[in-house]
Amino acid sequence: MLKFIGKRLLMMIPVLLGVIILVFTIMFYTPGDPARIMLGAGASEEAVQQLREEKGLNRPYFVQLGDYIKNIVLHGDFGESFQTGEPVLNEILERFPTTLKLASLSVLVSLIVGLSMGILSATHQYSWIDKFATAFALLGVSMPSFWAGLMATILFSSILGWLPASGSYGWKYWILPPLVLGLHSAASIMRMTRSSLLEVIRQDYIRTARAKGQSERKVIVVHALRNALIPVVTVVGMQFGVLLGGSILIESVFALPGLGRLIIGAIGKRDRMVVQGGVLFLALSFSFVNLLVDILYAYIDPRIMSQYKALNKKKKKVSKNV
Amino acid sequence: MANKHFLEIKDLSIHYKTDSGLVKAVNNLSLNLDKGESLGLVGETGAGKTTTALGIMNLIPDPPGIIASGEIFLEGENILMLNRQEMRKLRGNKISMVFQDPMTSLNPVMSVGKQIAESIQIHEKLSKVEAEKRAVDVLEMVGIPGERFNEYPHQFSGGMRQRVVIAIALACKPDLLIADEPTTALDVTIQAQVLDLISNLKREQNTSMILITHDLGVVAEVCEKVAIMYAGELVEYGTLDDIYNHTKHPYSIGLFASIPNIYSEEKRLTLIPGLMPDPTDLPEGCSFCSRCNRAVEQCKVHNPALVETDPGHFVRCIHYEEGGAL
Repeated sequence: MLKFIGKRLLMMIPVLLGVIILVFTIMFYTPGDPARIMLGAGASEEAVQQLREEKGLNRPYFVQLGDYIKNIVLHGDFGESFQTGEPVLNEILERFPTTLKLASLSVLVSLIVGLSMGILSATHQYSWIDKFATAFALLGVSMPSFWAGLMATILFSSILGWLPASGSYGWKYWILPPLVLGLHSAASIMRMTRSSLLEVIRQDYIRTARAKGQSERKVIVVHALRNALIPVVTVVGMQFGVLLGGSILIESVFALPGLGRLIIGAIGKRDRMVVQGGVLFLALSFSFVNLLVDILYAYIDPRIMSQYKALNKKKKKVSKNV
Repeated sequence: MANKHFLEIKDLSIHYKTDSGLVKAVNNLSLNLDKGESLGLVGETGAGKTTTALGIMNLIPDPPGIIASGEIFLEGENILMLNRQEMRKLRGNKISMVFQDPMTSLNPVMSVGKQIAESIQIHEKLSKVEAEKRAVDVLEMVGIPGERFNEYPHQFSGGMRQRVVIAIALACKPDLLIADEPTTALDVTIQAQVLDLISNLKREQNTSMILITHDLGVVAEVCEKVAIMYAGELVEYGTLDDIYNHTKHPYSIGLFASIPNIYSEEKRLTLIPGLMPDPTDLPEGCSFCSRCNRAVEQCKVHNPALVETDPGHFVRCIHYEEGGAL
């Protein structure tokens, strides 16, 4: 298993390299001159030229790209923000906890709501619970999260006055955003749990479990759920990955100082270093979540575990033959 | 209500409600079984054998299935009247079932040992450790080394998995074992092993058994009583000798005729022409009449009753009914 994890970590290197090159290229060729934007429209041509010189912005594409990668690999240096002059890494690390907190809380909400509703509607197929859950899922998927966020603020902050509308100054500020995001992704988790569980419930081994005299609750919890979990874990992993980078809208609606807002701001200012660093960081977290999901698979299903082990063995045999 | 038999099924009818109509899977089926006795339930695919078995376990998938009528007495108690919890206490404990396909009957994410121990833990007041110890014994009883307790179903071959399924069924020493085509999914050499295993364990524990199969050879080896099913009905029912040596019903005769004879060279197998009737639209008269070589005009409208021709030998055919066509 350790070998598998090690191999997967190595495989992340080309992915991240690809991300660096892609984002760098896009930002490089995006119209808009960072030096001009930094100094403002009133600045003289000489001053702009001087700033370009200073920041190395007038060098050719390949030189700048090579320099960027070299600095990351050799010194762990992601460059400095054009705007603030702060190291990019510091800016990211300052913002990331907020994003991570929002993503984790949202996933927690969506897991609790999605799993329980999914199980209920699968075990009570076509009942009113099932119909209610389906309606809820439809609503959850069709409402854009920023709209739901706005509506929630209007209701709970403006009209009822229960919760603060925006900012991050205490636990009260952390109720609405995760709820809005979480319920949004709970919808797809619920649908996936339902359909996966419905399929498993029809399997022969569920009949075997019933034939043992096992209680219906335990048949579902002990036998069916674990078998139904693989597709659900996949969806949860995807949601978590998306939430880590994509809660930009919700961060904006609730004015939370997260990574998404940092990147959006930096794109507007053509602050290349921050955008590149930020996207790279998100790609890294997404890859880690994916790895985590793959490891989870192995612990859920022993067949996948033995596949991972077999992969390692095959490699060994091949190298021996050579 | 004094019942002298260990298991007594009376007029059992099981229907499935489907979009294309009411499927009458089992119709007015009556059977008796004594302690330690084995009954072979024979019939072609779709004759209602498995549905009968699931009916006894009260595991008919509902919806769409319902037990439309009938009574099933186990040691004098009508088990169809039991509530869910009482029925659960019987399942896996007094009545066990071995399923047809060992490849899909085991939970792929639970070790085989735990799957056996589970059934012991449900029915006997044992700690987890004790139950697992018992499960190791049961594993060894079916010929699997106890060290393989922690392995998962995918690490076993088909024959070994069927042994595990049998171990689960026998773990609590049931009084009645229902084996639903336990050897169909296995190759011939393994079939013999599994059959031997079942009959030995059955003998040791004095278990009654219903063996569902379409293999008349298997029945002859293992069973004392035979019931032939056709389109959800019993058509002939009696001792092994009654059915094999004094075959009466035209369908049973057809079944035996379709077995190739080892002593004569045959190019083509003898078969019964036609197909079983659509269970959503069973004929008014005898359900076999369209394929029967002895059918008379009256068969089309009159469904004969099951009559006892010799003591213990029942046949459902107009030719053996009193005042029938003969």
